[in-house]
Amino acid sequence: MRFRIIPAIILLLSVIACDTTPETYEGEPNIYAVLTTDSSFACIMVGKTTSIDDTLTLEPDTIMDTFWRDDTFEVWPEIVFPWNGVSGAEVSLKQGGHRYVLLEDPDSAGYYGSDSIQFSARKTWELEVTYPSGEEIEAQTTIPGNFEITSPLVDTLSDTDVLEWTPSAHAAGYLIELLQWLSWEDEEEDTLVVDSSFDCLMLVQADTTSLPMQELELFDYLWAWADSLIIFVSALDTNAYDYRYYGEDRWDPDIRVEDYMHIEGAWGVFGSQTVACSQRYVLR
Amino acid sequence: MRKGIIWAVLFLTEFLFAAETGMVAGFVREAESGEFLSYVNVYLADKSMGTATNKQGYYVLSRVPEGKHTLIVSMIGYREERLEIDVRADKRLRRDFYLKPQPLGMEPVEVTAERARFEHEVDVGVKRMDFTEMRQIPGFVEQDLFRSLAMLPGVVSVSDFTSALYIRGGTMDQNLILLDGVTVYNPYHLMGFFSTFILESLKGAELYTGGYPARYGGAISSVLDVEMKAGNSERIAGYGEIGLLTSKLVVEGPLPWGAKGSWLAAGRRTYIDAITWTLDKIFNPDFSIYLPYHFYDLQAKVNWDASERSRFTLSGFFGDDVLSFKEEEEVDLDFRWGNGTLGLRWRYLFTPQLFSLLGFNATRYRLDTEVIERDEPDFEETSKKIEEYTYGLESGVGELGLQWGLTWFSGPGHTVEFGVESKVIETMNFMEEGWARYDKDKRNQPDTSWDTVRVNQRDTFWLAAVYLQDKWEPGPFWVIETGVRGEYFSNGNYWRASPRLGIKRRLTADWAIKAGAGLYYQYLYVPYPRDEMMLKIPIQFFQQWMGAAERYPPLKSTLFTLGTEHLFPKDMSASVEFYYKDLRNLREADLMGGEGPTTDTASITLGQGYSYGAELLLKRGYSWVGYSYSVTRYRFGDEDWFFPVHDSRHNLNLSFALPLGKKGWTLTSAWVFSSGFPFTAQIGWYQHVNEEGEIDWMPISGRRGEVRYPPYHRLDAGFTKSFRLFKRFDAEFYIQVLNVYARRNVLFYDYEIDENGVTQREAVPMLPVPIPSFGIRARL
Repeated sequence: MRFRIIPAIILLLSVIACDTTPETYEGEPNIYAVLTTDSSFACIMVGKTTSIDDTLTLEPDTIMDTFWRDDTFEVWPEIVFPWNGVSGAEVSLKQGGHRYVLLEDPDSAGYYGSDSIQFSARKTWELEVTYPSGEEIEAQTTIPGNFEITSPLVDTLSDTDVLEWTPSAHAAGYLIELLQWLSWEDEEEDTLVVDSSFDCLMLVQADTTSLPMQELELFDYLWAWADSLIIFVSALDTNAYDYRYYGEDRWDPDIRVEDYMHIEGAWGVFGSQTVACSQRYVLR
Repeated sequence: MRKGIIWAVLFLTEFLFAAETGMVAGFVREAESGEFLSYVNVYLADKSMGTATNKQGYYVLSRVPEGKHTLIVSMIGYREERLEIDVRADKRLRRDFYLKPQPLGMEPVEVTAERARFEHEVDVGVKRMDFTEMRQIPGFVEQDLFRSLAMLPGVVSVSDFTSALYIRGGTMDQNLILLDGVTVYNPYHLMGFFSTFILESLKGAELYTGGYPARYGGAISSVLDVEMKAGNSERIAGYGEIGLLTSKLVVEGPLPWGAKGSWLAAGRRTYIDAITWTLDKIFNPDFSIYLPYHFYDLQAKVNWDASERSRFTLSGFFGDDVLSFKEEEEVDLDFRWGNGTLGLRWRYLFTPQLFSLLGFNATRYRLDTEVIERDEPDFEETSKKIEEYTYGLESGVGELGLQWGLTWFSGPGHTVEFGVESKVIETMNFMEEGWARYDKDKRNQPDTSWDTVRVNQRDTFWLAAVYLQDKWEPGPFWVIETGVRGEYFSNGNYWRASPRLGIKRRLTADWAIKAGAGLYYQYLYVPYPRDEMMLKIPIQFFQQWMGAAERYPPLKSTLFTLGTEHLFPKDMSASVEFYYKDLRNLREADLMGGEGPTTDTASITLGQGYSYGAELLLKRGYSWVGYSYSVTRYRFGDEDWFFPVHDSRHNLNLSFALPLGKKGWTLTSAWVFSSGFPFTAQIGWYQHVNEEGEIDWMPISGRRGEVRYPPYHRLDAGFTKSFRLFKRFDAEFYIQVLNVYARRNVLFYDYEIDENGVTQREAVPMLPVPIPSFGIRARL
């Protein structure tokens, strides 16, 4: 008899112990849009988040590569996902009393664009999106002021150079990118092979307007076979800066969403940037 | 007004009757080892008067009527001592006792230590554990004090990978851990798997989960007061143990050259490094299983009885963990962390009624980490260049303190304690990153390099305290403990006063009710991590201690407890306690969200919390059943209230030791059940466009702590077999198994999207399989 009590206690405790019912979740608006100074093209990506219970849409040809999983050694495909777009939304941009309606790309669900709007520095733009399901989203961005790269200005680079630029008004920070041009001779084919890639991304705060090239790991290129570098410095408004600063850390699920999402009622970003660039050659 | 007069009369009565009475006082020790015995019942044969020894084994029976009496000294497990005494008016008798151990069951036990404590201590929220109780809970690799304490109601351990204790809703930094009165800040080994104390060198531990006396301060949730053995003052003795991954040796004996006193030295070392190295060499697997990790502990204590009145004690504890390896000259990793304490005590009896304890304390915890990564650039095969990235982290806390306490046995059942304390505390956090590029073999002459100090914080604080505590038994059925503690903390100029109150009323000879209340402050803390997973995985070495500051007042708790306890025949007891705890000025920080550890107080969010619950403990001998119901909620900043990671609604612990036959076999077992711990579930995905324009799915978290893991339960069991080693030494062989039925308790869930676009939730278990360990130990 007494041995029957123990399973009964376990059963009772299991019943009263806890609530393991997962929370229910339905999709919410998800937007991506970064306006660029002096560009006449705008693309607003309008989509929705998804519950973990939903099956995500995949396109078969987006399975690009395979990896070995560390724990089970099974082959694991790398998947590139399409934008989970929402069709039929009303999307418009407003500035200085003018309202511009953006049209959906018929070939890409959820992509709304216009190629006739001129985005000037220091102007404030408002985004209005009305989802077919009724959600209304509003957001605002002020485009950072124009600025220029002041150093290095020589056509050769060394590891003692310092990258410098003038401050940009309304910028919350800067994104520095290096586009490297690579060329080498393929001895078997007797041809010159050209390649390029972005690398060396670095995000700095608004009070930083110079960086030693060493910190950009320029040495990689000095000793590599790159021919030249194009240096991009993008001044980001607060929305775009926070989106980059917090949003890239995928390993910390507890980073507060309100720290970097500045769209009331939606996930994502409505931000802006002003870009300065300079092409320089590597000292060989 | 009327009550005030009654109290005044009672006080006056003590003095009026003083003239016709005498006093008897002394120490009670164990005969074989000379160890002082606490909570021994000392009473007159006619039971008209009685008391219990205190923690130092000292008793005072004052106001004993003039004439001849029989004094009885009794404790379970020891032969009762009776002594005829002749008490003269105004005379003080010093009578010390040496109790001889007696096997249980030989005589009926009338008066136990449990009863002495029951009759003379308020004991609100106090749990005691002696060496035998600690030893019976099977452990990982070996038995462990903290693992044993986690079997008590009200104490929660959140994962198999950490021995950190969460007590009545508090976090691990809210526990004051003392070893012989000296604070130990981070007493964990193997990144938190088990605690640093060598069990066999300990006499016992007292865990105050609430309502602790005014002599303790600096923690808002609990006090764990661990006491080392004094050492055998009668003969040289020893203890040795050889286990699967650790070995230890304890040696003790009387002081040489005729000096009165004793000494004890204990050491322990793991040989995980040697075992894994050997296995690696023998089996030569595809990937190395060599783990270059070890830890060691050294504990020592010397007691010198300079006179009958004066005793000096010097005790120290040193332990380090070392993880150090070089991987084919690509990575150098050097982790070292550990504790060191030193305590010097001078106990002096001014009179048999006035007891002084002067102490000097030094303690430190430090973590020292250096990681060096080397790389040969692909495009530089001919130039033989090396690129080297260096990451260094140092963190620590230390203190130097002086304390002096007076204990005055002012009358029958009346003890007054007064004390002052002063300590200088230093916290330090330093983080540095560097990079260099150099020709091979010319590390000291880099072509180019940079070095950046990310964090460089060093703070010094001064903490001063004064306390007054009064324990009074105004009649045979009452015990009243009142106290107040005043504290000053230099950083922010904080003056705080903490009143304490504990009352026990015995309703019958075996049944009592008790209540306690108190206010507690804490000046040093470790922020609650925003990423709660940090509390569940073995990284307890990485604790960043910070001090209260101007904008961040000391942590504060207010605790109310109500309880009842009952003693049954055959050494059985039962207690039930209800509590409510209010927590203020809690801290939260995103410790790992940025580039590394943060000491930026701007990143800290203040919060509050509360916890309430009920605890039940049924105990018989060394077996017990504990159950607790508790609710804990925290709130930081403007966020909603949430259940923190250690909120365990129901907790059931069963622990028993069962002799099997007469051939020396004993079965020890512990079963723990906890309702599921809270976690923040992932409920969805949102799309993020990264810097390169690629679209990723990123997790959306649900409400914080809203969902719970499945219930946690685990059975640990062990067998011991007693035998005579070389026909000379008492020895035991033991084998124990953790997680006997291979329960896969969930550590966390991992979410991934598979190739069909379906989210897969994978439960990552704690200890997924039974973990056996065995060893042999002997008394020498």
